[in-house]
Amino acid sequence: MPKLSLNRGLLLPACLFLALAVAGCEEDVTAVVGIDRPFTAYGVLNPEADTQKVRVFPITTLLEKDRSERIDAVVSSVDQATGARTAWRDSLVRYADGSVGHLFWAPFRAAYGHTYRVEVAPTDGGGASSYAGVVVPPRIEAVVEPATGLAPQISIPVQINGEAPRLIQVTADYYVRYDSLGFPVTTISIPYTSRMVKTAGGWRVQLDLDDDYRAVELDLRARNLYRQRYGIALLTITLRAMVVDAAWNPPNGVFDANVLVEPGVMTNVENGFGFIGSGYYFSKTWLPDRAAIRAVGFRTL
Amino acid sequence: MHCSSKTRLLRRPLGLAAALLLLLGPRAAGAQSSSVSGFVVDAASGAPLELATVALRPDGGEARGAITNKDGSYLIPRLNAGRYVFQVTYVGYETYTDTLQLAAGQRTTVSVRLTPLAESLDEVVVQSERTTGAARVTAGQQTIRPADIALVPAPDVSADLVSYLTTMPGIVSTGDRGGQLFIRGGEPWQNLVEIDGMTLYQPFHILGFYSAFPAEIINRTDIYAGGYGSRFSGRISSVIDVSTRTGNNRRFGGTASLSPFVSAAHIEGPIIPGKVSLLGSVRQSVIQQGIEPLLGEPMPFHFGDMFGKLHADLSATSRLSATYLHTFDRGALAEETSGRTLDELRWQNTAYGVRYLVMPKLLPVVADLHVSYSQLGSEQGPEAAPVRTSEINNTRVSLDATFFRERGTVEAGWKAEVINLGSELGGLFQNTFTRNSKTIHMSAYLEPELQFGALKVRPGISFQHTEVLPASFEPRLRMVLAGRDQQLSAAVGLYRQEILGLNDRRDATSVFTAWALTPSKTARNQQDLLAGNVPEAWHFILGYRAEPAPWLELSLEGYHKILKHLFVPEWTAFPQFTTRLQPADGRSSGFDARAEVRRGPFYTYVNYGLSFTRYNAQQETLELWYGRESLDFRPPHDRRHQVNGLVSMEALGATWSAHWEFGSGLPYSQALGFDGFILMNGLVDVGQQGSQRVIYASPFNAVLPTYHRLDLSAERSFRIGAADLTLQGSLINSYDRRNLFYLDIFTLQRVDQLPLIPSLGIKVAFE
Repeated sequence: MPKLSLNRGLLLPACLFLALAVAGCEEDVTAVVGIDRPFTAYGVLNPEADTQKVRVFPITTLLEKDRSERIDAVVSSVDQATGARTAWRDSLVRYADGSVGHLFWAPFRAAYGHTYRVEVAPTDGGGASSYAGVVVPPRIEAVVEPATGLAPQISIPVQINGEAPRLIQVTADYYVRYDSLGFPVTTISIPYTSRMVKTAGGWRVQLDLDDDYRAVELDLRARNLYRQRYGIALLTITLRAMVVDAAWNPPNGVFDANVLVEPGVMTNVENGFGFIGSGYYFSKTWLPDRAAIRAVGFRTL
Repeated sequence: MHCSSKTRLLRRPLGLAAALLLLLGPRAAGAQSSSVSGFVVDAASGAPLELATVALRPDGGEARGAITNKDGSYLIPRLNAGRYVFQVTYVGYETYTDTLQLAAGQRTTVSVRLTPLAESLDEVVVQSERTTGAARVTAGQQTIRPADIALVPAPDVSADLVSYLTTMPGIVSTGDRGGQLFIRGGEPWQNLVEIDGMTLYQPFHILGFYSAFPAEIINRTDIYAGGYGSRFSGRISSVIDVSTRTGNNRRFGGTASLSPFVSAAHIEGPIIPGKVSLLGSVRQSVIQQGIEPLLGEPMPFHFGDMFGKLHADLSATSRLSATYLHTFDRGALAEETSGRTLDELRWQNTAYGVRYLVMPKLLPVVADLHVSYSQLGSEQGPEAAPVRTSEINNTRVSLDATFFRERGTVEAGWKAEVINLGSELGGLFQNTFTRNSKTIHMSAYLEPELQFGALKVRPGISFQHTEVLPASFEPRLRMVLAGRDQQLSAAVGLYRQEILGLNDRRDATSVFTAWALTPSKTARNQQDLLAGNVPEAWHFILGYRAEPAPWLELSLEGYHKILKHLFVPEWTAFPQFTTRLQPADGRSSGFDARAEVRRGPFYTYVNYGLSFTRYNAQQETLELWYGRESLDFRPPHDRRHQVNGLVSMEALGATWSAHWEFGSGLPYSQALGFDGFILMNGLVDVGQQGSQRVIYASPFNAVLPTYHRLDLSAERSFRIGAADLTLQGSLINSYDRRNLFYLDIFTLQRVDQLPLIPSLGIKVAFE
């Protein structure tokens, strides 16, 4: 067997070592590539509020909680119908963990049916800005029509007049008394969002009084509040809804945080992320006629 | 008759095993045929001798023979009555010769103690080495012995199995910290790691040079990078099967070693001379005392392990051993920086078991009964209030039997495991999730070995029964066509795994794994995409090995894996560890090429691994953000190219070793930026705090820098009185390459692997 010379045997590793020593330098790696969108903003223009608010997050290249008291941003809005321009003011919200949030506000009441352009721009006015076009939904009114149907399948049609683009979190709230001792009352909310029907000039919904009675009874029984000897007395029905603009449109109609957190999902902020919507609360309270109430099982007072 | 579901669970595989015994027993025994069986051990130490040749030569007839297995046992069935010359040979030992007179139907036991030839010890080494080797791979299977491990430069004079594993092509590690091995596209939780039949769930220490397996306790290790036989079930990637050696039952001996990384000691000796032996090992890291002052930077790693084994030669036909193993690890993979607290990891493995090996008089069979318990507890976060905890424990009973036929064997077995899992998962920005579950896992297998000339075929079937897998039949096939100096091998098989290891591979430092069960499909969880979808893999392997010269061995092996029902963390813009999972399928293909040269004092091997691993995930939100319903991406362990070169030579009275490894960059996900998120599900108060959010680019869209490193070592032994003194000097990362271990894309914190570290170790061995 040929003997390997030590000198020759070590020569190759030595050369290799030298070559690699040269290669032992650091290579850069880019973790955050950056994005040319400057801001993320969330807000609601509420025509029933005296003050409008928009929260602004800078888009950063480092994940760290915001502790800076200053933000390089200004917020302004323009009412497209009147041309009125409003400069918003920055305010600082301090949270329990020491971080802060930049909440911009403006003391005006958004006008029903008007369109606003809300813009978040760098302080010096240079550079790109993020903006959203926000349409404030028009005012609506509800007309409760007489109950229809044969006992016990009684329903109450409600016509909502006004071009509201979307109604969310619609509920029929049944305010009931459930015992004769004292005056114990409670409210049971029954969701109606999926039963809203768009019509020309508004929305329409049929409150299913019979189904809702059963749901109310079930709810009271589950909470051990149902008294057989007394039954359930209906005091009022309130139809509640959030009247919002068309941009308020999550995938599959569901407000799932794990879906909505994805950037680009339900966003109307151009050249940025986030969502600036518009909306207001609406409600209509009434007591149906006694015959209809009794027909489905409620008692009257 | 009414029987409970648990009874039914137990009955099915037990019935299968009973039927198997009935089927194979009498047939294998033959009506009136005789058999000879026993153990072959080293007379000096009592250690079993594997691969000893046992031959029986009848007067004027054809010789029959057997090769001893890793326990030193052999069995020659179906012998005619008559007179035989009985001979046991093993290179380096005196040949044992006797005469046997067998009566019809007689079961004879002959256990042999072979006496070593003092002048032939070198040959023993040669014989031992040639049964293994860096290029000696057969359909994904490679055997590793302590002598192989000793060739790899390590920072410690006390060698460790993991040093060798990371030199193998197709095995991707997370580097010199973390202790995670990805084998041919598989993830760590998909690897089955067993030591003497006990399952270990996290067997690698936090510092990548060390595992629960110091070389001192190892007899042999079989690595199946895929295509493993029917005996192994419940994992879909690979098998690391470690067999420990038995302690010397004739005289006491031991070692003690010290290096800047670890101090270690092992002891062995007779409890009852010639009958019962003890083998014990203990290791403790000393990094904070040894390396920290040297580097001048924090090295927050603390780990250790202890191992004990009692082995008894109960009789000429039976062996009993009891094994105990405990490991512990504590450390932080990321460094503490302002704004980010130290995220400490802690885990402990505990395993103990009893093994009873018997060759009953009744049947020509070797039966191997195991009873074991193993447990892993893991924590992440501050010790007083961990953010995440996970525990898994496994109580197991198994019976394996080898039936000997005139040509080949039939292996069959049955296993029952009760597995408890529990975890509490919290994170930086999320709520805590608690999961607790329990499963009874039953399995059985049958694997005959058929010989057709030079072709050896091992078809097999593995059966699993669990709640989520009522009846899983998994066909397997291994084939070897062996010529004089070349071999063709192939393997194919179906594998399923009900137990999941959940972790967040987006974060390299997050080696914390939460163990969970695949949810079973019920009426209540019809919408759960994961329910009933047990991870599954098909393996296909084709390999060729040749020895064109006595000093050269070459091998080339290709593989393809089809992976189904994988669970990967859901892509979410919340910067969190989450147990929300999304379904994914995958595939992994590649090949390994290896060359090994052994020439005089010179030893070298070079290998190259090419791998393509892709996952395909489906998630509703993918379309919303990336514009497509499914996403085909490289998982973060997809290392495309891998090269390892090892040179070892004897010169100037010392052993000089060099190991260079190269790996192409691993994929990672870049972020576009970070902002905040407020759930706008109504007229909400936008002044609320909200959540932080990551704006990701495509998942794993970029590649980290390449990895390469050269380790050097020199080792020399001296005889001082009754002791052997070994000195070892080593240079880890000799050219001080800044290899990236981890990049926190949230904080831009970069953590590199170990820099150049010189190390000096000393080891004393006495006997």
